[in-house]
Amino acid sequence: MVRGGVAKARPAPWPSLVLDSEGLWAVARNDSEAARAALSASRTAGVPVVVPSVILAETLYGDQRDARANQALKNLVVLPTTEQMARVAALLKRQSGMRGVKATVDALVVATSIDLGGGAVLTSDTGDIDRLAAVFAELRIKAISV
Amino acid sequence: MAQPARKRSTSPSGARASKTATEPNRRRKAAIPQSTMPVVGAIPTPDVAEMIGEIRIAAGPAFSAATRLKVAGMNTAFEKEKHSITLDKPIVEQIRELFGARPLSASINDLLQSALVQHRLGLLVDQMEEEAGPASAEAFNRVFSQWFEEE
Repeated sequence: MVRGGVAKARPAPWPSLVLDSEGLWAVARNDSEAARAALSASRTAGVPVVVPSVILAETLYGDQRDARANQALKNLVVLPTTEQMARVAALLKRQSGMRGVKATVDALVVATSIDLGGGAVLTSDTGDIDRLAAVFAELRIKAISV
Repeated sequence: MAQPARKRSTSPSGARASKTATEPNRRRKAAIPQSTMPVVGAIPTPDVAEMIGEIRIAAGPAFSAATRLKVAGMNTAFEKEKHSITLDKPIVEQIRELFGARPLSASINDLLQSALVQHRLGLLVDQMEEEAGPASAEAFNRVFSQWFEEE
């Protein structure tokens, strides 16, 4: 597995990888080894890496500060948030007892993962993602820390 | 003569669900063992099972749509452009075998979309690794252990 101290990418066991705001920034800034490992494993397994469109609204500045994020986004899939996903997110929020804008965005991230049949979520906020994902135990959705 | 009132499919929370939405989901619901019903926080809510049902209804076709992203990453029907291309016969045979009666153009379109998504991800990973080096074995272990970790 290890060649000259460098790990050979193992295939990801998750069926999809969704990035939240911190996940996207970790990829854009390229300052997280965990993010590199998660993306590399996803590539090896042929797993889609997805950014929910709502994350763009939360993350981007709308000016030149977005250059690195835009560079990364060029090579990622941005998945539009549908009405269906929004409805799922509302139910997740209600059931988990979470409130507020941040919870709404997190719930949309989890709803996106549900839409993809479950998978990993690259985030700095593993607690909230896992709490929302726990509402829907039928699918395996796990937060992975950046 | 007055017609008898039709029975409506109504969830316990009062939300009416359409027949098409409830029937496939009834099957899925039956597959969930009661022990997996989530209890969030310290307050077990009495309508958890119904809530799960509601989420399943709302998620609806998403369950068959794991493949959705595999190919397109979105639901949008794009404008089409007609081309005449030449393919290897064995490739065409394999595609027909994989996709059955599905139109060949749509199948090839999906496969190309999927390949492009993966190609672009590869470009990004290569670029990241060029800048900062590949992730260490420890980083892979940390990431994988979070996925396999039980609740």
